[in-house]
Amino acid sequence: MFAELNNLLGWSQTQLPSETMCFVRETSDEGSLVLHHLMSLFLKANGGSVCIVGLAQSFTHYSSVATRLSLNLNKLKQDGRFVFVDAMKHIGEDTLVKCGIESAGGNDCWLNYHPDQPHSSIKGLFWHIKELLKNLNEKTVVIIDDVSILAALGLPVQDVVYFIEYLKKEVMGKRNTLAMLCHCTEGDNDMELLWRQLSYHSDVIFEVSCLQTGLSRDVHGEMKVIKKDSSLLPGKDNVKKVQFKISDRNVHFFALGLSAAVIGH
Amino acid sequence: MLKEIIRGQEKAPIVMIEDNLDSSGVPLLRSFIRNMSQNVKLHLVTYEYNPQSLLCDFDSSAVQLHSVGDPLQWDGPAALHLGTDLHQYFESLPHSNEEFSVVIDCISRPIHHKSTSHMCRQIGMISRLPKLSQIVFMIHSDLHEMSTTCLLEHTASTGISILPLIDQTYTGLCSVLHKRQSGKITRLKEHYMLNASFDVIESEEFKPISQMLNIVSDAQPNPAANLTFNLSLSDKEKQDRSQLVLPYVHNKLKSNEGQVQISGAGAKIFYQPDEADDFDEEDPDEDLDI
Repeated sequence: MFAELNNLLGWSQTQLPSETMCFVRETSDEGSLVLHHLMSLFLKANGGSVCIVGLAQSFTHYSSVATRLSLNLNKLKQDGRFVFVDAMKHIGEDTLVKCGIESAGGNDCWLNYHPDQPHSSIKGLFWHIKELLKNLNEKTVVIIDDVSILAALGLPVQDVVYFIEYLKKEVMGKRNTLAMLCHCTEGDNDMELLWRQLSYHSDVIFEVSCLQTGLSRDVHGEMKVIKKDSSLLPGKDNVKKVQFKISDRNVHFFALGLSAAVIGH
Repeated sequence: MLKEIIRGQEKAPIVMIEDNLDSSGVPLLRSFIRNMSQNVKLHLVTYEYNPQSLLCDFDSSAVQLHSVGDPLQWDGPAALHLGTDLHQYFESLPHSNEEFSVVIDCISRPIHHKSTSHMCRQIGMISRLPKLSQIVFMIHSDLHEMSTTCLLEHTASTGISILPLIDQTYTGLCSVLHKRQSGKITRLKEHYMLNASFDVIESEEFKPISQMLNIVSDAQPNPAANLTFNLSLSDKEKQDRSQLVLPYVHNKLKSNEGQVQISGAGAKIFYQPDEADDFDEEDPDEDLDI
């Protein structure tokens, strides 16, 4: 949990975001820091729980990140406060079953894989998450890491948007929070269409990018945080732009051009 | 113009609102919903937004909601989903003989699901329903190619495109393309101002900064206006001044008179050197071969 990010957004352990859709758009590799922050914020809060829909990383990855943030995911998992959905495995198995191939049948099952309807599994994934959410309480954040992988798997962008829409309806219906990350590469029209569509329905948008002037030892990247005005009136959004430096267990945020290295001189 | 269109004083049977991520068209859509529901029965179709958030605190008794909550029918058969033929849907609704209007919150999703031409046809057919007075729909222009918005602009009688706000004293800025039934086409940019209940209180034509600067320079106060003495000249005074002959200034008439006199007298110059003059009797140009 990064206290400086909490200050920026007005969140705290006692004032968790609720009925909020957070969308992280990264063009560098540091976007996941927001997801890690949300994970630790909800797990450290009294009675908060987290559901991670993992597409980019395995449970071990999140477990090691959590250890650095003084959390024991295995224990929290046993307590029912942490749920990990291995979405890749789920989609894979679902696709094989739909193709009439038993996944437990042997090692050659993927060799016989014919992707007739690769996007049909997304509905199954939604139902799976929906079932899991029934056991979680009100203070829950559902984290999808990362959405762009679904599009990279060959799913049409529109199907990914529908999946997120259904998930949003389910999560918001229980006054919970939905957070997702989307990795964007410049010039990729499909990804651009995906993040634009998701941005329309998000309440808080994080745009994480590299430092424009190049690599730096003291500044690891820039983050633009857009908190949308609920009335959607033009020019009323709360936009903040900060730079950050990642240290071993924490992330420091500071105003543009005011890193410790600059002030020190 | 925008104020008249929203309030229904200017007839606009098919209105399209184009917005994008930076400039939302939702406030303007709310304003349309508010004004339309006061006149006739309103059918609000929502594909994207929560209908309650669009209605705010209006008197929603005249609004019938048609929410597309389950677009792909994952939860079971739904009366209204992404594949629904909207024209047939509205035709099948039990209408009394009173007029009604339709608002669609955003047609970007059905366009992605079906096609632009399909949606244009649907809107055209709905607009020709006998008791329909007006149809208003919104589209996110940055989710589509230019051809899509152009096609819809041809279908619509009025296109309102939301532009980034420049002057913060207003609520928003938009460009309006209005096609009257008489055939007159008006295209102008307008600032608009909404109050807390999303009613449009003012719409004023947008003037670019270069024009505004001209206005400012024209309207500069005249320092010579309220003086106790006179700094400026009247036309008669200016005319008199132009006729005055100043001394020591070369005057064409006078110089002509002088020449006549000189030539008539056969003028000669007599020069008598005095003592102070250093008169050289020798010709200084003697050595020159002229």
